[in-house]
Amino acid sequence: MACVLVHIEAEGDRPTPAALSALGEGRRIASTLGATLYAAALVSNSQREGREKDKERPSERRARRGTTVTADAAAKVVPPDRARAHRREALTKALGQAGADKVVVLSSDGAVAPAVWSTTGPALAAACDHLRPALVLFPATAGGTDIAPRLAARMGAAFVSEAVVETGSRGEIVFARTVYGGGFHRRVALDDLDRPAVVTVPTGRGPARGSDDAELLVLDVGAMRDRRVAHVGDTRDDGAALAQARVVVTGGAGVSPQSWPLVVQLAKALGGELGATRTAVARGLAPPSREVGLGAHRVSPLLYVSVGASGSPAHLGGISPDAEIVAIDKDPDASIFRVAAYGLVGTVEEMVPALIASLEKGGR
Amino acid sequence: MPPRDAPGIAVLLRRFQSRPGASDDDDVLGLCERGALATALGLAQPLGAQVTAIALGPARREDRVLAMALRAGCDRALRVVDDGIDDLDYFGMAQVLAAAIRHVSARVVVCGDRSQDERTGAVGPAVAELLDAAHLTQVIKAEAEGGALIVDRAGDGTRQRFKVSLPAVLCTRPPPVNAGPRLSTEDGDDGRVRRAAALVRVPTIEEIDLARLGVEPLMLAHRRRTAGRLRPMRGRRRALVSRTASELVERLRADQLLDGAAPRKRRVSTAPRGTGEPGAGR
Repeated sequence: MACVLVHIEAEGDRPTPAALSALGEGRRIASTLGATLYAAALVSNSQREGREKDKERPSERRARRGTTVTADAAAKVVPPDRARAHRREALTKALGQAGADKVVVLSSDGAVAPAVWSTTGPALAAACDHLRPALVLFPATAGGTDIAPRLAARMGAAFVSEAVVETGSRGEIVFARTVYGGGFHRRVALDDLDRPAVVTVPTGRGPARGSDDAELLVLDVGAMRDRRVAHVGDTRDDGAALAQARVVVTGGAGVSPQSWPLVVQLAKALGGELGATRTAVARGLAPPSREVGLGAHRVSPLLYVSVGASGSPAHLGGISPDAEIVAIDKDPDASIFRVAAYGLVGTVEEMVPALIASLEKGGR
Repeated sequence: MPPRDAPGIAVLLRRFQSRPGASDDDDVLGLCERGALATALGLAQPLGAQVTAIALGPARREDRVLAMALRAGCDRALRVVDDGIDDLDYFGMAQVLAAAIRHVSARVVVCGDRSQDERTGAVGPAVAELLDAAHLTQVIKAEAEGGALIVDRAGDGTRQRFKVSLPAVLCTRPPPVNAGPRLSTEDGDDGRVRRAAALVRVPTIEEIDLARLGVEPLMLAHRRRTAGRLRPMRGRRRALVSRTASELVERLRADQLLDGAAPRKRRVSTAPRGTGEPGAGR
């Protein structure tokens, strides 16, 4: 049976919302293909130690029935008693409930954070070598975008970045993405490939529903990592809230300094975060930490309101393809209207106050 | 003259295309490629290294990019020519680029995190895999420290710092807005120098073909089918344009998009954005 594998980023024993979103996408694809859905998470032995002393719980008994596998010569076969020690019952349960058929715990001897190729990639590649998935999915996070393309290269696989998953006319799985600033779309049908595919998917979709009965597989990956990259430390990013926001309102080059407060007010009225295009930041209308676009903040909101931005490829490159875009611009032919779902043609001064009034009138 | 044992730096550049096969006269380099060029040149002095700019494709398209790189301070420019390069997927391109990087003996490779047109973001990591080098994507800043690099990378809500040993591939984000003086690649706002540069074939750009790089065209043949089908969007506009702000608010409310906690609406249509579905547009 075909295998679909989803990489899971987890904080402790809890999968991140982005990982659950990718797993949900994986569930839908696996169900369409009749494939087995594997959720693979790298877990540090140091986190595991505390759990080894825990009393066995029902979920652990279920997990203990799971198979123990090995990846290749580099990964050791884990005997069943050690597999018991390695299990991550909370993670297994959470992933099973989010749709996974099988949970692969990649048990590592070292630190597993942050998720980049050097910490995670070699272990994941070993898992893929063993399981031979037809499709590997990653959430389009900072970690996913670092690991996925190199894994694809190692597997000699096809790679699709930030794809919307669709069903084609023959019922086949198609990965689609808009390119060239929304003027073109590129579509890759899974059936047309003569090799596996590695795909990153937007992180805004909700998780799927599964059961508590996911089977646990433990793969001891030891100290499999790229030691040439050493994590030194982290500092907080001032614009972090943008990445998590459900609503983002972004002002562009078409907003004058006098009108900028209207964009701020609209963000407030919608309960969203304020963003700015590169041009708006260059004009000093917003700080660089608020920039949305290619190479700046990548946002994945439910609702994205673009005010006075034409829709340049650099701007659109920062918006998740599954965000619903509302475009407000005075130019009806602006390319933002090609990718937006909703539009309003008019000046910022005219349209934004009216929009705020309508929102306040009806209550958000 | 850099010392003989200095690690060479290769910067991978690509002409920005506003649509497939069409170069833009105003935007020669994408934002991330600008970041790559700035990073490569910034590392050259502390590492005592020569910087070689590498591009794939025809002279009419890529020589502008390489000429800019030379003006900005690159020591050497190399263009790989082959008729079929543009049809390759990320891995095919990476195979050609890895061969070119070996040819110039670079141990530090800098490229844009993702191109502005296709936004795939896979070539850099694939090059690293083929060269068996360390890599990091979403690089904000890189500095030399001893024989290694201290690299800042954008995480999800954090700025991550790494120490990276060579050989390494760094995939850079755009330089920050208003980050000091512009690169001398900029030709001036009146575009005179730019137009002159476009007319004059810069003689220092080296041209090399796949045979000289030791790349067999047959090796690449099977990398032409995985890139997927590229199609223009049908229809001019997808947006459902409202006549008034209140009409827009009603529509958003009906589609449950004004409740921040609402579950994301699942798109029922199988068509991608911009395909001009019936009823869409005005």
